[in-house]
Amino acid sequence: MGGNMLGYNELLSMFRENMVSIPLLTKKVALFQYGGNVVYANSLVDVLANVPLLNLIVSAIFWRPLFAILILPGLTGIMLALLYIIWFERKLTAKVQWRFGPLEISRSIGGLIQPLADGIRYFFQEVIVHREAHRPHFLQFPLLSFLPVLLPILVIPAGAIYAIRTPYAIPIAVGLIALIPIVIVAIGWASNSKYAFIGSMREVFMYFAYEIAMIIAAMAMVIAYGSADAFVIVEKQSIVPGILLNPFACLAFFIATIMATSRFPFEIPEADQEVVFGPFVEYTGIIFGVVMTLAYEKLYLLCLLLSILFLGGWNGPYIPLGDLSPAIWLYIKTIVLMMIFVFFRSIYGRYRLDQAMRIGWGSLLGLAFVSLGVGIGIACTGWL
Amino acid sequence: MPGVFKITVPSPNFPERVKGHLTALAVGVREVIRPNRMTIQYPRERRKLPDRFRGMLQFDISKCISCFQCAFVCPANAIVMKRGPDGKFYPCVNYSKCVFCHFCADTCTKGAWKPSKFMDVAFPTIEDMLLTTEVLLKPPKVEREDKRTVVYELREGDLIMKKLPPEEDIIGVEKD
Repeated sequence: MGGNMLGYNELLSMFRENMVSIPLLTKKVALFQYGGNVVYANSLVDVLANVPLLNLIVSAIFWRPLFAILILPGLTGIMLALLYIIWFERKLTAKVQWRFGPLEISRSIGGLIQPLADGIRYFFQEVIVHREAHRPHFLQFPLLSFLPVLLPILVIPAGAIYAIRTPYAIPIAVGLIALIPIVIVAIGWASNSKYAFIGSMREVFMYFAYEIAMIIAAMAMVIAYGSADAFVIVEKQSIVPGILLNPFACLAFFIATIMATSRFPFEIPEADQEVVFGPFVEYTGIIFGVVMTLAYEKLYLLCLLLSILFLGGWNGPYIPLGDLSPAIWLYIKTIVLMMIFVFFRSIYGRYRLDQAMRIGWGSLLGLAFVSLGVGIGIACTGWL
Repeated sequence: MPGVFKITVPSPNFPERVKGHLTALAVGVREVIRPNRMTIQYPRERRKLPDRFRGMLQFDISKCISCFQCAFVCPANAIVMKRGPDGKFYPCVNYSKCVFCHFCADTCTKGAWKPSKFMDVAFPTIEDMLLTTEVLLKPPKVEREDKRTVVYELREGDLIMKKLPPEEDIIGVEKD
């Protein structure tokens, strides 16, 4: 063992010092008083404290940074949101179009587990790599796409559950999310096919159209709050949420999010009827499952940012679940926002690329500049 | 100039655009709250078929006079005549060829062919689709899962879907 390496016990105590506080899981709960003594119900971590290896695993899961990445704003939260929102989108669109949507699998709950069934089908389907594809890049980019999806979770906090607290949280998150289109363009390039190429070119055009307005709108709110630290931003929204403070920035960020995640009416890069899923046209099997959910994962991240910047983040009445309470509030707001975004699929057609470019470089950019002015005005008057 | 039409692209101003978006949203929300679904959930619901529906054919051997008219008129050559045990010729239908035109039923002078409403039929093999006279005479084996019958109706210009109790007679052979 080297001198600087952490031993088992040092690692365990490091995990146990900084754990998420959840009743019955990591915190003991007072049950009743008995003759002056308080009787406690032991927590899961305490029960497993003396079991070798299992105590390390359990306390690592509840270690604050890892919990943020793996459980609530992170991977598990993304997966649950994906399963729910894909079902919800199909069901809602079906309702508006006078159909039923997914129903046959689990009729009693309205086909809720259909995305799970689709995922299982993807798993057992053959992954075909066509001859023209650049094989290593074709297979590696869908997996690399998890990097820009999961890295922003490091700096996006959910109340007391956070991985890194930094005064540059919002710019870092926006910058990391902006890496996702590069992965999509790389996927289109590695596919080496006509429709994938057209799709990735459309993605590039859309990327330039929304990204500037989105960054300006986010920065307008950062200027207005006087800080890019998510904790400060949420604390300053405890009375007036940001959507009332600067509605122009909210609208600009909202429209830019629709463009960024290629929801309708800006579903241009992946247009099914024109370029059959654009950059992802050549994918099959589980790799297609990974790239198909990329837009939803991006939607999840941008909705997290949207609720932190404009909807008061994790502010909300306390739920008796310890540190989970603010995280659950943030999650609920995010899911509701995602439900609004996927609703547009059922009522809008698709803009042409030039129309979307005109909106992006014209009215959207103008709206973003107006919001920047409002943000600077709020900062100068010093209301907050 | 007479006879020349110029089509201009509609360019709504800002309030009209906002109104258009709001109308679309309102329609979407209305359909979400009160969906007007048109789908027939097939094995559980069946559509009520019209009276003159051209489905499977029913054959009445007592009326057949072996005139060969059905075999002559059949445009798909689905009907062939075969000699029966009594020396007369009787038709056999090959449903892998039949186009359900019901010319045979129209041309039958004695009304031995009867149209029915029975149309969703499954055959295990392609050889089973050739129904000989003996098979034609047997009543079809019916397995029903339907709980409702569905009827489409026009009400105030809108197409609506009505759900009725299931039909008693699913084969629905036409009466004389």
